[in-house]
Amino acid sequence: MKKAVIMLLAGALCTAGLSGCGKKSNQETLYVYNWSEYMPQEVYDLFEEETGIRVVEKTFSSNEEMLAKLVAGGASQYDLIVASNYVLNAMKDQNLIQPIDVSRLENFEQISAFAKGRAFDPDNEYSVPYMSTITVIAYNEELCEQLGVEIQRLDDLLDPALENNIVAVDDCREIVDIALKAKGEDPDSTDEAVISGTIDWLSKLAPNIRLYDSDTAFSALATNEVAVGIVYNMDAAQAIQENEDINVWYTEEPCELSIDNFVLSSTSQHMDAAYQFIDFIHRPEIYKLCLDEFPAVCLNDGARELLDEEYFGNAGANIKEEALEQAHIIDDVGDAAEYYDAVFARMKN
Amino acid sequence: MGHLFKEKKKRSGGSRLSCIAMIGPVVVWMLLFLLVPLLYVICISFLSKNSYGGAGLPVTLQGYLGMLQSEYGRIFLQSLWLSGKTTLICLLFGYPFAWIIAHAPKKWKPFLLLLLMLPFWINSMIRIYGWITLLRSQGVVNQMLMAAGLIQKPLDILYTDGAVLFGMVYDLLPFTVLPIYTSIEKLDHSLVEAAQDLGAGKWHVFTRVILPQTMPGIFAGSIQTFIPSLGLFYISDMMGGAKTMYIGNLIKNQFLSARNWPLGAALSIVLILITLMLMRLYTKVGSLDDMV
Repeated sequence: MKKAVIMLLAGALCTAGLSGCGKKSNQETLYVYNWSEYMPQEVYDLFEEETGIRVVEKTFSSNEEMLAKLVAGGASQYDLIVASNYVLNAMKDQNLIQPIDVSRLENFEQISAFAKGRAFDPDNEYSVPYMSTITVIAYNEELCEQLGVEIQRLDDLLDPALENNIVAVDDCREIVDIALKAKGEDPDSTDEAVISGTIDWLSKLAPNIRLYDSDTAFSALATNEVAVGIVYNMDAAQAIQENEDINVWYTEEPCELSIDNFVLSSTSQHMDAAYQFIDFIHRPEIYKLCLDEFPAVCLNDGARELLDEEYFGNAGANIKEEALEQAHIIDDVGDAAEYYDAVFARMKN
Repeated sequence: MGHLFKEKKKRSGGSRLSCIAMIGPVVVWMLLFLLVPLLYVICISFLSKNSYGGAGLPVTLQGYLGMLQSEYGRIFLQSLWLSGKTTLICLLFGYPFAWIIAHAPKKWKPFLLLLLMLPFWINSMIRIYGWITLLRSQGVVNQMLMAAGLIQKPLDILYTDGAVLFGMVYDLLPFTVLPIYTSIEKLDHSLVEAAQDLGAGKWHVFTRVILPQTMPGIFAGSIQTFIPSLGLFYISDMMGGAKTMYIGNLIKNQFLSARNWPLGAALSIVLILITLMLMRLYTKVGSLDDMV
């Protein structure tokens, strides 16, 4: 293990030496464009300590925001981008990213088979998985018992007993997909009639929703503001850390899953550093540091063995395996995105 | 004569130079940061949308036609209605507020104005978070009311339309107070005295003398409240739980989730036109100098 790292470092040093002798005094910098709250600063510091490469992180809070900024000409500012599976094709089509050679990554074998070679990138030609997020139903045991509510199917979310008692992610795809699944439709539908047809289901859900919040949904759950949450599992995990009444329900219908991946910007000036960084993150002990701070779904087998009760005992972090296997991986819907947005706007008004 | 002419020419040349030096930076600033982005937005509004965000050829009116959906009309009306209510409430509270400051003892005035400006030292979003902690069902206000025995169950204050209105009024009140304060300061007191001498009652003095004289301030205050309130999407997101969509959210979503830039740009243009119309209306009543 250590040997491999030293070899890699030596290799990197050699190439750096070959590429430009005069530049040595300038510290190399790697520009990473990442989700906000997804990678701890500690990891960047450790990377700099070990390799001397400084990491500068810029963050975004939705794939659309990231895509919009890259399309508007920001692509040249970054080397490494963390993107969700459903925007990969869009990025590829617009030449924003370049192929990645996974054979250069020592730790690629550490990554769970579950996340590799999925339909969005069958041969991992462009992407290396980082972590994954699944949308779950979190609930407050005490409050739900008082209300007499139990959620086994998505239709149970429409229970009038839950009036004004749900926090939901503020994302048109997530919410409309729930309605599509409840109605037995394809959650990646691009058919305008099918998508607008969810309005009857959504308008029954609307009165139950107390607030939409994608960024700090955990706080509404942790402070007993709501009984149920349609939230990202990381929010559920954070709420559970703060409030032991919170738990997770799995419905009969599959959950929504997105896999976040490292991709190389097509204009990257620091390819070697980017490879080094991806490999560094997938070193089990480093990956564990990321999970300790941000309890998303673990996609690294080595790190899984290092994890402790704090992770496995938390229903928001330790997602049931069947739920992961069955989960629906959100796919790009292209032009149909506006239908999703329109029906979501109608639901809100 | 020739000497005099030379002198004059020299002076006018000098003033041209100083003119450029004085106005130049402003013109460059306006061109770069106002005109260019505005033209960019206007261009996008006439382009076709691209499946991945962005906009491209051919030139179409799709962006504007897309606005005709009944949904968007309703969102526009809803936003105008909320902004109208915000402005009205700000005026009702702001006028007496401004009056009190204007008539306070001289040594108190700077202090009172400072108190009015003080909240601006803290980011508005952080102040809104503060209100969320106070107003949530397990928050300080509900806990106190319950401890006092006034209510049995926590009140639903947060995540309602009322909370959004409250947040808007809270955020924008200083913008209403300041112009009204200026116009009350400028009030010609001899006219008030004259009215009183001629036997006008308090109500008459207010409606016939004071109100007309402070009208420019009221107008300026209303516009300074109404226009920003149309764009304050984060207050409805944070205090209303993002349950109702307003024009600000709608525009944001076109760029960040619906991937329909032309529609977003067209909506912005309409918003700018509404603003311009209001400004035009205002210049008929008052002068732009009162806008401070």
